[in-house]
Amino acid sequence: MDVFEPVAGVESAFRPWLPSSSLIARDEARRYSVAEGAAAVRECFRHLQGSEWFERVAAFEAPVSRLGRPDLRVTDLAPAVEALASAAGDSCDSVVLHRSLSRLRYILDRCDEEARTVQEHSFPIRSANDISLARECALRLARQDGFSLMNATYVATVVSELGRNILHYAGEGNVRISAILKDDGVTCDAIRVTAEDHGPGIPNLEVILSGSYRSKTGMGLGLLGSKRLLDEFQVKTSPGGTTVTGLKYAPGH
Amino acid sequence: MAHNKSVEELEHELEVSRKEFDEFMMEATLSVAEFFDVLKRLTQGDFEVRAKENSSQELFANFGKVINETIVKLAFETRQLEEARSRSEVHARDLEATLRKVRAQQDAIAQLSTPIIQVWDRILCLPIVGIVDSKRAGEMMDTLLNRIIETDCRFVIVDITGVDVFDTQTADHFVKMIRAASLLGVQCMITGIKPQIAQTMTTIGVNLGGIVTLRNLEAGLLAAIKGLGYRVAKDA
Amino acid sequence: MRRELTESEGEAWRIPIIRLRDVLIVSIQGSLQDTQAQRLHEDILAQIGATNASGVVLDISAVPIMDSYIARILNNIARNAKLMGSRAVVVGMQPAIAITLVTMGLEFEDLETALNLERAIEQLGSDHGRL
Repeated sequence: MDVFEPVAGVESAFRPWLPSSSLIARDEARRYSVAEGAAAVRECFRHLQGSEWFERVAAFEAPVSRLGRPDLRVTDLAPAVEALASAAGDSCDSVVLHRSLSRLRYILDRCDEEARTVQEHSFPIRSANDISLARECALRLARQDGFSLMNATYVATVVSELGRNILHYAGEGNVRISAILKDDGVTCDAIRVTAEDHGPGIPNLEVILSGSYRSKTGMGLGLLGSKRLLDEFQVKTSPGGTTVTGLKYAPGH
Repeated sequence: MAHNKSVEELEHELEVSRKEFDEFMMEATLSVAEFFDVLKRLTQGDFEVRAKENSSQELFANFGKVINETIVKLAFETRQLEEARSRSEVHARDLEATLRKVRAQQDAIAQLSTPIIQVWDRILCLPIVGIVDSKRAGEMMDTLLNRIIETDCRFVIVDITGVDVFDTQTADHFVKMIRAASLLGVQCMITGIKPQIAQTMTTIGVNLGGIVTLRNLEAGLLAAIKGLGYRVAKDA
Repeated sequence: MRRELTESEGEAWRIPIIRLRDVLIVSIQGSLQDTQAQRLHEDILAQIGATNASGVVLDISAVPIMDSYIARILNNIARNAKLMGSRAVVVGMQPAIAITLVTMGLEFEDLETALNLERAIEQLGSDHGRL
């Protein structure tokens, strides 16, 4: 998404970077989506790549490379902007660069967190009823977000499996379902399921996930099964608790 | 020499200076006010606006000229930008239309290559030709299961006579599809396993446990029809 | 409304078992709670014993989501029914559930399935109903 376009050849003492689709505009009232902010940072980084500050900028490529992630938050933008600022340095005598950085900071301030990840639903899991509620909501939400019945069923089944594991092994915990939105702030890009608990942890995680472990009580089945149903899957476990995060891509991801 | 001038002359000179100064200040105030107005109009998008270049004071006349030159330059650059942008927009739209067409064609091809045919009352046949990718396999599975329910199907014959390449992934898709259909309560069978496919299956270690395999589509159809309770006889 | 019931009140939501000649028919509506499932398991085995039923039909056409736990319970019901000399047949599995179970990699050794109630009863009547 093209937010910025440096206009070559026009030196003007009173003009910042022009938004590509409009003239100098009064935009105090406007709020930017996190995606727009990321696009602006990327554009500035791209512009700097051809400049004499490139070596300094290259060292900070890491924070900028994280800008492509689907779960980007406003807090991720700040390190990237600061990295660019420090790359430019105080000895930078390019008025244009300084102006672009101050504009970036301005956008950063006006980035609307809500515009990025909306519809986050949290379900405390303390009983079998809670699992039923969570999975029914998961099914409904996935359908609302344009998922096919099959994929929505996958999401709901994962919620059920992870919720059940929480109940059986940790006693209680929480399942969060969030819809991650695309750049337009409206279409769903993916659904993320996060199951957290403060239980005893999963001691033989690698064995379970490799598929060779066959548990009588079946916790392994639920976890491995969930992994097979999802597009991205991550487990963090320790004796202090477990967090399982999974992502199911929406059609058109 | 100043000190030779009379007081009247000095007063007169002072008066003239003051008048000149007043005129300058007046012109300054007016010009600056006008320049502010021009800039405001400019920020609102008016590129036609121009500042006065004929001020009585040379400083402000020049200032006006510079402002106007800048405006012209700005207008030009902005127009170039707009034109380039609308050109690339048209281009992008054309590309998108072509892309959509190509995707639709690809979908049509995919659908043609894996039809689900009802060959008999309650018998469905799936002739597989070529390679099946994951996305297609998923759609096929969904369509097949729904067709099974729609047609009150009892037997599904998956014919792989047209399959030349059989890797782990393809095998995986087939086994999943057949297991899913079995879960719904129909009898599945695979027909047309070529010798090299049979070898590949054994090598890979495909577990077809429980799935009936028959030589060819004809054999499969015969078995299914008999399975429905018909007796097949030929007129002499 | 189900959400607000406590465990003891779950008694009222016991799943009914209908008897049709020598076949038991169980229709499961919506989500099956854990306690309901265990209760159902006990009830079915008790009924098989009491009526000497030749088979049990488990109708899951109204169940939108099934996870590995419920699948295992159904499998256990089938296994235990077999041990008691009877059979269990699951009917009406929705395509989305079938695909989900298969993708997860679950297998059912003891579960028989049929497309609908009519076929299930037919299947229970004949010895195996297979090719």
